[in-house]
Amino acid sequence: MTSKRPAALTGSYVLLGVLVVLALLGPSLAPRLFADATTGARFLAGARGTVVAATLVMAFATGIGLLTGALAALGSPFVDTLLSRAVEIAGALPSLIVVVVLRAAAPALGLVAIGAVLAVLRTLGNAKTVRASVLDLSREDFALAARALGSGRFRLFRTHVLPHVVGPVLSNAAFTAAAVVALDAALSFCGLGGHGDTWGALLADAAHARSAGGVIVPTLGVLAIVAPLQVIAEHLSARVSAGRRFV
Amino acid sequence: MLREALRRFLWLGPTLFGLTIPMFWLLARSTDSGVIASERLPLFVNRAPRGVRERALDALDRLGSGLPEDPSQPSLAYLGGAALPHVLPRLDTLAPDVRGGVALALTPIAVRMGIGSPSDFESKNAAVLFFSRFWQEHSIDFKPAVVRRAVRRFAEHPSSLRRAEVVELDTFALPDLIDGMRPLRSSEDVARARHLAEVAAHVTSLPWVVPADASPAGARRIVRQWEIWWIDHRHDYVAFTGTGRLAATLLETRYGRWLEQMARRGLGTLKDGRPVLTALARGAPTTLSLLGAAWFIGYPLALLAGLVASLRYRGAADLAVLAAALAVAAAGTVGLVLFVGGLRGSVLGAALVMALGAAAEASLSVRAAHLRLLELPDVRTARAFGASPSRIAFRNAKRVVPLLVAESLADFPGFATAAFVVERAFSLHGLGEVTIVAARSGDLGFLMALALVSVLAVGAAQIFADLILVAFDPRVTLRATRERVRS
Repeated sequence: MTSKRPAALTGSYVLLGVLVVLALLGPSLAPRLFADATTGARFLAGARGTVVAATLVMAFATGIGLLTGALAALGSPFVDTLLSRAVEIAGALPSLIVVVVLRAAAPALGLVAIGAVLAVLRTLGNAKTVRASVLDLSREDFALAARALGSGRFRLFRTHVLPHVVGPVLSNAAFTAAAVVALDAALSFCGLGGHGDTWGALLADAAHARSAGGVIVPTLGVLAIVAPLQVIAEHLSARVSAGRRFV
Repeated sequence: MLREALRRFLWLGPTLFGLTIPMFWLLARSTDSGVIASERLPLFVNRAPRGVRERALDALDRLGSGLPEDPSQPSLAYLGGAALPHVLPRLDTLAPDVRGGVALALTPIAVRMGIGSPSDFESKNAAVLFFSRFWQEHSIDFKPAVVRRAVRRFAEHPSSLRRAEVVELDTFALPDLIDGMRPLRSSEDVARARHLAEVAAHVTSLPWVVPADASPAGARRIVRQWEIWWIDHRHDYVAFTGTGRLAATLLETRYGRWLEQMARRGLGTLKDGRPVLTALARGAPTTLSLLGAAWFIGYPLALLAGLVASLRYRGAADLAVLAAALAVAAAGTVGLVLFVGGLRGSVLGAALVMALGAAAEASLSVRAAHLRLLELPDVRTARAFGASPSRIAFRNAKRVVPLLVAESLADFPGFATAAFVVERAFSLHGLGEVTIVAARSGDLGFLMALALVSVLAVGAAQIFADLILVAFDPRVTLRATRERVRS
């Protein structure tokens, strides 16, 4: 099992690299490789927007989510209460409607509106996960031992708790990319805008036309983002748990 | 924990109220008109609320300066009897020619009140003389207490004489006429509402009268129309003075009117005039059934898949669950809709899409959580003593359930979106249909109501979920856990 890990990991990094190249060159390659309005052309043309939006949302949700969750668990009760209320409020609004409203308020936003809404929702979700994990892990023997040796709360988090939390958070991040495309597709499908050259719009058009082939291409594109991230998350989690098993 | 739950439940009210302000601001910016009629009203604070007094004086000024009639401003005839206490006492202070013009402008009111015929107002002088005498004799009648008594007497014991007495007050009696239409429970109440609505329709020229054979429900519909109209047009007939003026700075705004409609009329009305509550109640069963499919089929499926995957870590079953979950998440609801296209039109297909969508991400969360549980000393000891994987999974399942409950609530925004897509794809008539129409047409009232109901429902469900967590694991008390971490 251990010998398989680096190969899968290397493959994941390569796949992510290919995606980056696709995002950089896709729109300029599309007219050279495909005739206008074919699925392939639209897929390449939409690569940049989709990959960039997904990456930004993932980075924001992971970074800020980690920070907020840690502050809620280890900081003042005020931050904790604020996070709980924010999760309650943001967690109750259908994302479709929030995006529509945001777009109507600022029509130029386009895919950015989807990104903004998902960034907030995913950040809060991650923060809640991190908070729960920190509270849980802080009761573990290794955490208590670190406290007994004089570790402060934030050192405890950085050195002992964070490695255990990164895996699940990264796993969530993998699904964030899928969520960006899924929400874009839902908007297009419901006729609430979003008819651009994005993978979501491509997916919605294929669903309207009942074209299985049209659905498979953007689905594979999303899978190419989600799967490598999941493999990396798996690797990070396994590394930590292997260490704990030996202890 | 119960005290904590109660405290959080009580906080839902202020949270909801606080939430409405930024939401209203954003929605008002993004919607074109909405159910609130006067777009020119300020959004949140009206520093100079304009009641009937200001409107009547404006009309006087326009007449005095000889400006042409402005169709966007209410005329004296429209303001009716409510304008008389502000116009007639000033009649003597006006220039003779203006005075005559004003008196002639008041002619339609006198005709409507049944106190004069067009022949009484043939010249400006005759009109001025008529209204001067009228005010000398009847100014005492234009007092709130007098009007209240007149309307009450007419409502309790209607007669043509008492009707004439109320009609003579014209729009000045509207607040009491509309107030007097409620309650509506018995046939006597319907008769009372019929008489009052008839007078209100006469003074406003609106068509909403209660038919003689109306049932209490039918009468309620008519009265509701009057009440909704009153919220939007009250400022044309009521003078804002004293504390009423203070209240008007907040209520005579778009937000204030929406809040009033929400509070008084069951979440307000749609753009087409239907009550929001009715639209929500009609669509909710379908949408809730879809959400139920996600929660009660998807999550048990996720629990099963996650447990199997973790017990067969890096085996074929684990890889199959991983691959399936990632593929379903990548396809999204729209992609899934196409793949179960053969079931289009069936409730089973819709439920399947919802369940698979919910199970995808949750199964991997269960897998991760269970992998962690498998490393705990008690589980490792049990395995060492020969406990079978299925026994371990069964015992650990209840330790994973709280995580699933929390996740299921956190996923509500995504589920709601998925439900809207599924409703559209499978031609189901749920909340998605009316919500999409509202979003397209910028129906501020419905979107606000939907958001508030969602926040309230999910907030309450989250508190309930926390109570379930305690039931599953009595060691869980939020405060105790936090204190332990900090100590």
